[in-house]
This record gives sequence, C-alpha cells and structure tokens, in this order.
Amino acid sequence: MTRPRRAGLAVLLAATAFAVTPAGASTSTTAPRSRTLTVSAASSLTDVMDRIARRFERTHPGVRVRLNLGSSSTLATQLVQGAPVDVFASASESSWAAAAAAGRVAPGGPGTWFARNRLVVAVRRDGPIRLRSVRDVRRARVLAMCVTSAPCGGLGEVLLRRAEVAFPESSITRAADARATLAALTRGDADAAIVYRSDARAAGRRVRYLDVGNHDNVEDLSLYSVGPTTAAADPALARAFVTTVRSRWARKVLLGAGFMRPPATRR
Amino acid sequence: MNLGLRRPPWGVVALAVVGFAFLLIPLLGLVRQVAWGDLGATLGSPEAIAALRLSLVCSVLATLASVVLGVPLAWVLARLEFPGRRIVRALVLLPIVLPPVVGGVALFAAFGRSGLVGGALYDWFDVQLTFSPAGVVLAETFVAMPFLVITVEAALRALDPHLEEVAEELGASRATVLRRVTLPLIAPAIAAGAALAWARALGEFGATITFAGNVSERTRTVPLAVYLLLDADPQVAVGLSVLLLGICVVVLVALRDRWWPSR
Repeated sequence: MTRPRRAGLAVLLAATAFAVTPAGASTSTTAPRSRTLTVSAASSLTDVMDRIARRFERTHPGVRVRLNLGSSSTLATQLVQGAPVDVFASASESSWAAAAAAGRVAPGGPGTWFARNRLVVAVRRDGPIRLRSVRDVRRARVLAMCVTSAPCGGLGEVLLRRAEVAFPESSITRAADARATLAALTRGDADAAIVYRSDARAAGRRVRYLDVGNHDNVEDLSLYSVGPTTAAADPALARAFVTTVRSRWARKVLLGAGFMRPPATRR
Repeated sequence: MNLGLRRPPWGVVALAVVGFAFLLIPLLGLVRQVAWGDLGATLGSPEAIAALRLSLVCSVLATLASVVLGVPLAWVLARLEFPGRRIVRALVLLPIVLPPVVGGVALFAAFGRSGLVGGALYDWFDVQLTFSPAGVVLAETFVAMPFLVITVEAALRALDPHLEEVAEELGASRATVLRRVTLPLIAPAIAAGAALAWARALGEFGATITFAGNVSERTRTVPLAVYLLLDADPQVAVGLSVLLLGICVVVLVALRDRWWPSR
C-alpha cells in the first residue's frame, strides 16, 4: 500500500468515527443538556404530532422529540420486540392492548384516550368520480385501503360491509398505514381511497371526501390512546409529553385537523 | 487456501472473521425463527400460494423481457463504436445502484396514468399499468435487465473475434454467424445473466410497491407479502422469507463456476 492511500484510509476512518461518536456519546456526557424523547405515533397523527412536538420542544428547552410514525399495529409490534420508545400514541385499542399485554404500556382506558377519528371515502378532485354516496366508490378502478392489520384497514372492512358495497379484493391496493393509503390517492393512480377524515383534510384541495357511516356507532370509530411506555428513559419527561398531547391546546389542534373528541367520561 | 504466507496477517484475518459473521448471523437468525414442522401448511396457505404464483409468473416474464431486450443491448454496447457509448452504458447500468423506490417513482412518472408514456396508453387504449401485474413485470424488468446486460456484454468482449471472422470468411452470412457462432459461445453467459436477473426480479420490492402498489393476487409478490404480513402473520412472513433464501442459495450454487473460480 502506498502512502497517500494510507492517509486516505486514515481520513476515512477518522471521519467515520467522528460521524458515529456524537450520537452514542451524548447520552452519557451531555445527558442533562440535550435529551431526546422518542414518540411512536400512528401515521394519521403525522401533522398533529409534528405541531405538538414543536410546541413541546419550545416549552422544554434542550429536549428533542423524535417521531417514529407508522401503522399502530407495526408500532405495537416494535414495542413488543423491545424498541426503545418513550411514548406510544396508538390509533386503536387493539394495538394498545397488544403493547399492554406485553407489559410495554399501562392498560388502556379513559385515562389514555385523547381523540377519535372516523373513515371517509376520498377521491381526487381532478379525478373522474363524483361522490354522492358511498356506493359511488364502486366506480373506482382501483381503491386504496390500509392493510387489514392496521386500524384503518380493519375499520375500512367494517365500513364497506355496513354500506353493503362488495368491492373485489383484486381491485384494492393495500398500503402499510393511513398516510401511505392517502399517498396512493394523491400521488398515485388510485381513483378512490378509504382514509381517516383527518387524512382527507390534510390532503387539502387535492381531494374531495364524503362522510359515511353512523358516527354514534362506536365500532365505526378509531379510538386514540397515548401514554408513556414502561421503557421510557425519563418517565417524568414522557409523562410531560403525554400531558401536552391531552392538553386543551392539543385538543383544539386535533379538532381543527378533523379528529373528534374522545368519549365523554364521568368525572 | 494458503498462498505460501508463513505468517498470516492476524489483523486482516480477524476483520475477515467479523465480516463473515456479520453476513451470516442474520441468516441464522431467520432460519432459527422458522417453525419447520408447520412450514408446509404455512406455505400452503392461500395467501402464500397466491403470492408465490404471482412472483413466479412475473419474475419469469421479467427475465424473458430482459433477455429479449438485454442481449441486443449488450451486443450493441460490446460491438458498435458510436459517440456517447460510455454514457449509454452508464445509463443502462444505473438501475443497479439506483434505490429501487426511486426507480418506482421514475417508472410512475413515465408509465403512470398521467405519465409521459402511461398517459397516452391510458387515454388512447384505456390501459393502466399501475396496480396491474403488467406493472410488476415492468418494475422487475427495470431493476433486473442491467444485470443481464453487464454479464452478456462482458462475455461478448472476452470472445475471440477471430472465430466470427473465420466464419464470415468461410462464407457465412452475418445472421448465420450470429446464430451459429456468437450466440452458442455466449450462451453460458446469457444463462448466468438470466439467472442473476431472475433472482433480482424475484426479490424486487421498492419499485414494485411504489409503482404497482399492493393488490392481492395481482401485484402482491412474495417480498410485499413478507413485508405486510410481518405484523398480521409473522409465521407466513418468515416462511416465505426462508423460501426466498433457499431459492437464492440454489441460484448461487447453479452459478458457482462463474463466481467461485475453482482452483
């Protein structure tokens, strides 16, 4: 090996070491100054959690919130397998129960609920379909839905069954989570999508949507829960974040984004 | 094999062992997860069979398309002198290093319903490639063909030009030379390139899910099923994974003479 090459290798190694160490070292040396809170949140909460995280970082100087977004069932599986997460925000009670059964979060209930959501049928504004009833979805050549393991996918099955719309599975593209389903409509070639009302709102002027279903029927609604995980590195900080999610301010943000209030509970 | 070094460089050997372990341990982890007793029933589930059938059909079609278009492309790159040939070759090989999901986005821009080509197909012929098995074949061909081209081109360059010249001097037409001399000589390379392209097509995920979506029995190939069943049905996901692993091992063994120069 010639000299310049060796120098190059040394530079490369040094650069790698430099790139790798700060992340690993920060927890031990500068822990009190810069703390990181990892929040696993259902993908339907993407925009809302972004705002909540930014506010939390403003009110808690030195804290960085890292969002881990995905379908609630995937996030629950990650938790069960021991993912180092501080706060879990789930879009369904069953995903919460899966994490609770493994002892990763406290059992769910009114104390963890913070929002509800319902599904709508959405079409592209510039697309061929005019929505007058849920049955118009049958005119879609391809319908985007969530995978059945995700909360939005399970609810979508209920929605189609109640509307007595038999849509062939061979014309349904299944996306991994709520936001990926929305993307199949807004950026893909799907003609219609079954997504949360909040997702349809987040797409803005690109989509039209139709509210469907009976909203008094609890089975047709997604119930969102939030809480610290039992593995939280800093339980007090995790609890503080949960308090922000359940705050009056966050409630306004959620309602503005198209979410609904959680069920009223006796005080 | 010891090449006569009396003192092996222990630092190098240690790093090599770490590297080997790093490559091997994940595979052991996968194999350990398999419930071998139930594997037959797992792979016999309707969901798994549908994904396997689709994967098989689409990857074979993608391989055929790669051979039909890729061999002439390799021949042009190896035999014709033209300006910009190096740029053309670089562009042909680009999908090998391009992130597949970027390939999917690019395919969508070209063949989506409002894409460069896809728009015309849809408006004039009512053909939609996205979310269709044809879209899967398209995505797989896009990522797999470069592997065939690179293999066949290398073989064409290594060919002794005299063999073709002699045949031509003996009065054979260009078509006859191609059919009776050139193609038989590069047949092993075409087979190897096709096997490589097939393995790549079979494992395609990023471009497929981006361009063709995830429609049961139409575009849900085995890799997509693995990804989407990890939550809902981990046993099927692991079973399909280990099956893909097995297929890759078979391909590797079949190609051993090309990749493991036997000494």
